[in-house]
Amino acid sequence: MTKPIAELIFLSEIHYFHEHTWANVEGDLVKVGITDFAQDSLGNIIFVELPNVGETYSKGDEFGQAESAKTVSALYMPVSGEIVGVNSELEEAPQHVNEDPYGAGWMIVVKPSNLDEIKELLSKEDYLNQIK
Amino acid sequence: MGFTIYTATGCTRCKIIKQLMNEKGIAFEEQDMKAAGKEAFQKFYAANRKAIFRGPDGVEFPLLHDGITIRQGIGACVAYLLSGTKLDGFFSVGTLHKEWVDGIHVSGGNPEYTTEFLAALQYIKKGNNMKLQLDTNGLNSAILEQILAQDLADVVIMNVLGPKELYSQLAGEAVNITEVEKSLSLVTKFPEYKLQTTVAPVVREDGEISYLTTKEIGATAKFIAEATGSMKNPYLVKLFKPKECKDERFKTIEAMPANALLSYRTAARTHQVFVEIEKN
Amino acid sequence: MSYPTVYPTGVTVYNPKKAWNGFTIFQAREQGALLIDMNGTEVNFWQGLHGFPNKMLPGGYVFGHLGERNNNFGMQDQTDLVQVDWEGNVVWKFNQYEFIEDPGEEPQWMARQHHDYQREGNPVGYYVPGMEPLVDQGNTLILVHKNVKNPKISDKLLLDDVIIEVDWEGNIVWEWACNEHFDEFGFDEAAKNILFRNPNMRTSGGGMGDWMHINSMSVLGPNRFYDAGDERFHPNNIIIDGRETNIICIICKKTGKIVWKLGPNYDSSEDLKKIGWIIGQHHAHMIPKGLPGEGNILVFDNGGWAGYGIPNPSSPTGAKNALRDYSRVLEIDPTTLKIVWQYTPAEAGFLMPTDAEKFYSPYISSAQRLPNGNTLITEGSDGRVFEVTAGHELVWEYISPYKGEKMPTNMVYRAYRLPYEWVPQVERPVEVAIEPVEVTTFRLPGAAPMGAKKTTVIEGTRPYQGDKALCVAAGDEAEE
Repeated sequence: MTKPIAELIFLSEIHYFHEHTWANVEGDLVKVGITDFAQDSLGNIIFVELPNVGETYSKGDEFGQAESAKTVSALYMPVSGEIVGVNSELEEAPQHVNEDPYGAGWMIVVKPSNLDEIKELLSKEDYLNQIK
Repeated sequence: MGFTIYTATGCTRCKIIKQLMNEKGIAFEEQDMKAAGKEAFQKFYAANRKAIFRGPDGVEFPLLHDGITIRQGIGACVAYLLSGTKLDGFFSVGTLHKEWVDGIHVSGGNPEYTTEFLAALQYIKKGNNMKLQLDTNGLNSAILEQILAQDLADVVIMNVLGPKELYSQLAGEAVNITEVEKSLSLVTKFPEYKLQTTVAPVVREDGEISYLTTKEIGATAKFIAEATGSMKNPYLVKLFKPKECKDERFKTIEAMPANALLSYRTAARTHQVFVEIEKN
Repeated sequence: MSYPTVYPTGVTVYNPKKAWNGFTIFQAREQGALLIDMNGTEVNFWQGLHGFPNKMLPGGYVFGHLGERNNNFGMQDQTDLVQVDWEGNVVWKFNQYEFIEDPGEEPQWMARQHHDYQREGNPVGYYVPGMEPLVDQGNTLILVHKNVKNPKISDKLLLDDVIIEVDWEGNIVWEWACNEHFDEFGFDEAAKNILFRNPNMRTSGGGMGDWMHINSMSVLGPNRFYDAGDERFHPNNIIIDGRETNIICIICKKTGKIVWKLGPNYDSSEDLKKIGWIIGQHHAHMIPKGLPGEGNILVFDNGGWAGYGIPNPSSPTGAKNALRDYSRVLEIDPTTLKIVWQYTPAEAGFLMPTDAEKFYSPYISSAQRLPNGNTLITEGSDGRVFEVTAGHELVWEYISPYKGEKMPTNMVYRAYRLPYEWVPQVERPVEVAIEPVEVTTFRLPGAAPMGAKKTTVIEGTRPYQGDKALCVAAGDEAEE
């Protein structure tokens, strides 16, 4: 069911965490979702459990989970910080994560406590090397 | 109220349940999560996910919903369709696949409905050529006796909760130990059987909570030897998993490292020479 | 190649000034545990005490086994591990690992021990200054067998290797099973393929796959790498080697994970290519702190046939696909993977590769580092135990005269040298030098000496040359 890596999409302007989440800096906030590779491995996502606004997590913490019929996968923070927004549309339409993982399928917005952590994340090439 | 059955394409167990509903003339709607029922299933899942069991291979099918009650897995669905809620406790969602059905708890349900329980087993095993793996903790030994007489189990797993003295406490109800002894003597007569004991936490007399001791596991092995008349039963000593525990008192207890079971094996071996211990 | 049918047995070479003098313990084939001095005097013979292997402890104690499981049902399973005193009294015994009911045999507890064990206090089971094994207390690590099913490895029944640690009372306090770490050994697809189909099937017990065949298990002990902060070499960690897989590896005592490894392939880096293929090896262990070469891995690289991998003309199925018809003793730095010292047919003085098989034992064998830098080598298949200096000089040699009746070989599994002080029961023996015999003039009664009765001269003959033109490349030519 899963696609070859060559058929998956990886944007060059965003940052990747080795646990398959991405981070996109938007002003002084960071938007987070899962990569095309992650959504493809999961299969049809039927539920996404997200945190509450106001909660604080460290880099590498589990902030929620994505569930498909066959598996449950934890979602990991690519940076430390406070949750300032969640994509509530995913409650009704978790398929957005499958259809558009970098767009409508975004999951949370974080106010990072340390923007330097962004620099430690992987580039598109590094991430591709990891999943190959 | 109408029934909805959630299925996955190619799921044999789902077909068995649909067949049963057809036989009984029960109208139902089918939602195949891999085909046209994808969205319906997603909605159903999002609304009921706490009540839906996930095994190591994900959500188990079939899922049967009559608007109020959800039943999951072949056993629970057959039981509900044949006898309504009378058989609650006898069935849960199993994790075995292909021709094997588990999640059948001889000690879990109300013995007043033995006839109905046996009929459900009959339907699954004899009517549909499935193989049954049953479990018991020793209670309802009379049912076990009838299952043996009617040849309704392929494998029986007996959870021997602990030594005689602690049995009632571990079971959470007053247990007549002769029931357990009777089950032990019956269980060895099935085509295949396994005995197992989880090193579970016990509330001690002073209110402290501590795991069964090596001595108590030794006593359990001895109890098994006496009741079965054999020191050579297949016997597994298992780790307690606090995270999976439903009892609030024990959720916070620290998990025992797998290596700690080595001394339990030594203790049990004096009375059950083939004892094995669970690995992480 | 041809071996002489007539040769002396017992001690054949002995230089007391250069040898590290002491007693030597080994298993005399089908006889028992035999302790000899440097001249081969049989100091004590523990009759019928099996030895897989025998090892001595200070105070004149010897380790061994009361018996072996019926070969029809078990592969090399020793019934127990016992510690016996100088007079033959069993002072410690372990057998409670598995309850065995073999057809026609008395049901009984068995250790199923094989190949190795280590008593606390000493990491490797041989003499190390300041690291004496405990004799009246302490834990013992024991290598044992267990039959398992593991569909990841094969659909056949497997004979797995398990390491257990037992306390003085015989309680098992730690356990490690090889098959549970299959994913960590780094087998490629070709190896997994043949392993699945034929995990080295042996006939015992209706057929079981002796897939790894661990033949050595010892503790690292204190070492300079750990002292410098390298956690892989924690003193409690255990080093093993698997004969069938060509793997040498270190197990983390705490997590059970493989933390350092050589093999199964030896062609994946320049360093490994320089080491060359280690095949069917035995007795890989870390030289303990306090002995010359401390921290290095000493191994008897048998050669012979072993490994799982890509089929080749000598291995149509890929089973035992690596071959070499000579042995090597290698001392390898585990961090740089450089060979620090070696004893191969070349160092033994044989023409390479045409005479290489004159140093060759395709199975069993071992190497022990001695306090003066010498190495005691058991070239097991010919029952030859010998000692060489760091400069490869032969200073002691013994050929076992004990040839089996049930199996016609004088093989010695593994011999150990020990200090005289470990046996307080006997006087220090007199050491008599045995000069190497000049074989060119050595004659049996009736055999004529060298020297022609008549020498005939032909005019026009040319002088002989070196070795550049043998039918196969050899000597300097082969090394290019």
